[in-house]
Amino acid sequence: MQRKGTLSRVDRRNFLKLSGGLVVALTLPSSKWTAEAQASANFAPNGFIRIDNQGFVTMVMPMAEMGQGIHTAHSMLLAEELEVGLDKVRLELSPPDDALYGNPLLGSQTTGGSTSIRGFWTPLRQAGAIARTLLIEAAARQWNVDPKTCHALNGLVLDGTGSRQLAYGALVDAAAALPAPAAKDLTLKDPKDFRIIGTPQKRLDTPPKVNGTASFGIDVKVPGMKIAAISISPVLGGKPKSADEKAALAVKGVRQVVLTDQAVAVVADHMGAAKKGLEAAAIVWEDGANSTVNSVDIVRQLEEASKTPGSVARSEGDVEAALANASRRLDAVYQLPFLAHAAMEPMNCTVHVRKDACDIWVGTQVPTMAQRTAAQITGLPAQAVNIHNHIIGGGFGRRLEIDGIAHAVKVAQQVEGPVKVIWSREEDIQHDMYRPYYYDRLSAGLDRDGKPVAWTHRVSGSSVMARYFPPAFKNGVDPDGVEGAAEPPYAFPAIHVEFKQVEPPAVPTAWWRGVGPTHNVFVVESFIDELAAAAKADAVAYRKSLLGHNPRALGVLTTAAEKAGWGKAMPARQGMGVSVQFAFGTYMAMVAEVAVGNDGSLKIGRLVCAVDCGLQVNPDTIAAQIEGGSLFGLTAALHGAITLKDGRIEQSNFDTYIPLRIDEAPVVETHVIKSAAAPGGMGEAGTAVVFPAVTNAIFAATGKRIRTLPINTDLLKNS
Amino acid sequence: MTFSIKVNGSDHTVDVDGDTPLLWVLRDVLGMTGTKFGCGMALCGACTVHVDGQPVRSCQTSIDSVGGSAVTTIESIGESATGKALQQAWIDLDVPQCGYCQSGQIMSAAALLATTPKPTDADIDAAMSGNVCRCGTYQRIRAAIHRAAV
Amino acid sequence: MNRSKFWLSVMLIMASGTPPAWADGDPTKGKMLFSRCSGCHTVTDQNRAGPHLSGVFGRTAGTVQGARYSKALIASGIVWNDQTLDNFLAGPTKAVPGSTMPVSVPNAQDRADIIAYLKSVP
Repeated sequence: MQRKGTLSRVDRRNFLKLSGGLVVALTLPSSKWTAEAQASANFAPNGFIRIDNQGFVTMVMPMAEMGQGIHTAHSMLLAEELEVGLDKVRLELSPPDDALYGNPLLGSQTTGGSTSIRGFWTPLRQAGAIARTLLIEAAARQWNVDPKTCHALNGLVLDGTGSRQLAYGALVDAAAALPAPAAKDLTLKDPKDFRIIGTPQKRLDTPPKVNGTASFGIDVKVPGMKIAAISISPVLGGKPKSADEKAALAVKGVRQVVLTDQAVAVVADHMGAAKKGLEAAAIVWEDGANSTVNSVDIVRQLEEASKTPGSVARSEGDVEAALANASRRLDAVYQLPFLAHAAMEPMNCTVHVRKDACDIWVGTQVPTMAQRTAAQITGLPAQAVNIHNHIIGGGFGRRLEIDGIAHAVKVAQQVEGPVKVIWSREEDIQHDMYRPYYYDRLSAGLDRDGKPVAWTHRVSGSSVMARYFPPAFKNGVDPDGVEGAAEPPYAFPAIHVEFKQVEPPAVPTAWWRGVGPTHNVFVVESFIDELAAAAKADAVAYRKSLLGHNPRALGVLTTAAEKAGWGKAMPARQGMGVSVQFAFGTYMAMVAEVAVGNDGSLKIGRLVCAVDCGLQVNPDTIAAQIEGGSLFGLTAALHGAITLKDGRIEQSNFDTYIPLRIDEAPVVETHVIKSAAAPGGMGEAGTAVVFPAVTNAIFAATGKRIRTLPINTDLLKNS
Repeated sequence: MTFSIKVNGSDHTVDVDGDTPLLWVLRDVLGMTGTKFGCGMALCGACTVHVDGQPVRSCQTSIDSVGGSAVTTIESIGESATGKALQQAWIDLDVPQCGYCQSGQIMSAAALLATTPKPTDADIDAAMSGNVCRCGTYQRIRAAIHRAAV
Repeated sequence: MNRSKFWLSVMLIMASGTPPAWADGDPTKGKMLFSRCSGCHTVTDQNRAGPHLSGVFGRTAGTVQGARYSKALIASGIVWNDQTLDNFLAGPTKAVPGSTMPVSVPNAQDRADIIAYLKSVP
């Protein structure tokens, strides 16, 4: 989700300026810290760093950790300039505060869009540098020397001779009294002097994740807490009419039955009782208007809408004329299904509503949105809502939404004491907010040499942006809906891209890992592959011929092809496919190796990825995000589809929304191209690039072109 | 009804219906949240614990079926040499991403190594196929099991 | 479960004159239901967390090469057929205490359909 600079012009007080400089609220009074903050905050020059008398460093993380490694990466940025090792650093999740912790690229405290490094690359290094500068200044004053003769290393300030040193812990009180330098007066390290950034540091969150002590939102324990199982209307948008409270309360351990405007919750001592009570409650639902909605009709609606023009996202050259005069014309329809997130940690939220305050324990990508939501529902002022954020057991975009929090607050309003609302896997899948169904129409014209002279792409589907952030939905164009389509990496002489907003009945749509690129890179890289085939050209060579103006894209494409052994002879019904993209500020290319059985079954042998993400923070995490991101995408390519019948989501658990398992997972090879360019995002790029690499490999292996996802292996049977 | 069970070497008495899944007894009644809830239908493996050393999905194991068997969870698997080696390998190779599935992964891996000390890739794939990871850490899981098996 | 209990239940069912549910299984429905099993079992020769079920009829429990079994199931001596599968699937840990197969199929018709599907695969 690429937000342009214009979005930062949201008028918020004390807001971090977008210009690249961190305007730190240096006069931050200590009363801004929430109750969880450690008692000894002797030295807290900005929202991100606290150091106590023992020299113990606490780093406050502005963004949510959901497996993408950002807590370690952000700590590395802070530690580099602060000059501390990471072995003794403690991490805290930030409280809701857009001013202190907002992502400059997104305009709020939101973790998403692969922006956490790009947004904080400079601000966190500046924050570390400010703290270091103050500590050096404090030491210099104590030694009565020019601070420019001193330097900091590993939690110590050393003087020019190297004979005197003072540990940070001894300097905090003095440093806290000094005025902080302005960000513009700081000199940040030259990348060649990096000690930490660019090295494969061990992730800071691993040890608790291997011994059972890591605490996800679902694990929170609050004194007096009860557990609630929740049931939301099976027909989307319906309401509960009645529940058999007596039967539910008869279950041992059940304490209370709660009806809200949208759901029924059974509150109990433990989840076993809550679930049993929920079954016993035999809820009667008022289905509402959506009981006749079927995804078959939604697709038909999209197909109809796609036949007429949409809003223009980009138009250069005269595509109509170019198509008419082309030697050859290709047309294609591509379709991508609704997708669920299905993170391993099901939706959950713990809430305690009192008369004057509300506490919420949850894993969220949007703490300030969560705070506002709870304030709105309870009528409390935002300051009275405390959000205790947690590491998230898989986000993928799901936790950008606050529906789970809203449900829990409504339940908690009727419960004395704290209540942990846990969604079953069925609820999690059937009350998700889904990646939209996209219906894309494309046309291209080729000249006599097979080169493209015209390219048109009309996207039809729901606009997530129109709901999530209306100011960005302008003139009928959803910028995310055409991301990767309006600016493909190739230079076409004439290009015309449109967005046609078609909102499906009943189905809520939302951000899904890779967002616009996950949809459009599949379409663009598949269609360009069709052009290559029509031109009887090698798929890599064809793309190369169109990327002369784009050296970084050319670089990743060439590397991926070389490392994959592109061009080698493949046995029958085996093939390689390629894709290349520029998404989230990162260039990436992937070659997939696929074997297709005579029965159509697929074996993905290998995924070879080349990436140019500019300056690297943690190379190991970059590889991990490519491994994980591409497997996430591969799962959807092979198995991912959410369908609706009579207003109900048909999939329910991992038997019907099928995950990739270890025995189906290919090995992912990562090759990083070293670059001094500004860092790009890594959380989602791997997901977007994998779909067409695989379907193009299927074409190479079988001659069959997959234009609809998920891949239907029946189409690949050896006839 | 009260049940006495032995978890990680300690005795516990709980008062719940007999069909209560062991998972919720561990998490909600005993407060041991290392074992995770992922699907409730033994499809994902996040809830894997050991009962007398054998891997079971605790979401589908009723408390009344445990009896006097020894239950081992992620909280104590590190006390065994195999468990400790696995946890160290997981750290060495930075296996976890979100980490939510990893308790179950490690428990399944520990059970595999107990019966197959030097597993092949195929052994690992088969034994671990019941444990889902949505973050896609599978190749690191496989490498970490090999590392711990040495 | 032990042999004498098994035969007793067979005789009781036969004596009651009610045809066992497994006689009316629908393999098409069974294939759909099998998706619940396919996380751990295949009907090819591939073992996953559980043994593959190709050729399960007539097989002695716990004997697929390379598959993972509980000690209890290996010791059970069960030979898989309509009756033993139906009994096992109704409650594996009750049928074979110590079994590590955690998934039960409480609905008799579902069991019949799954069993019919298993019968239909090579």
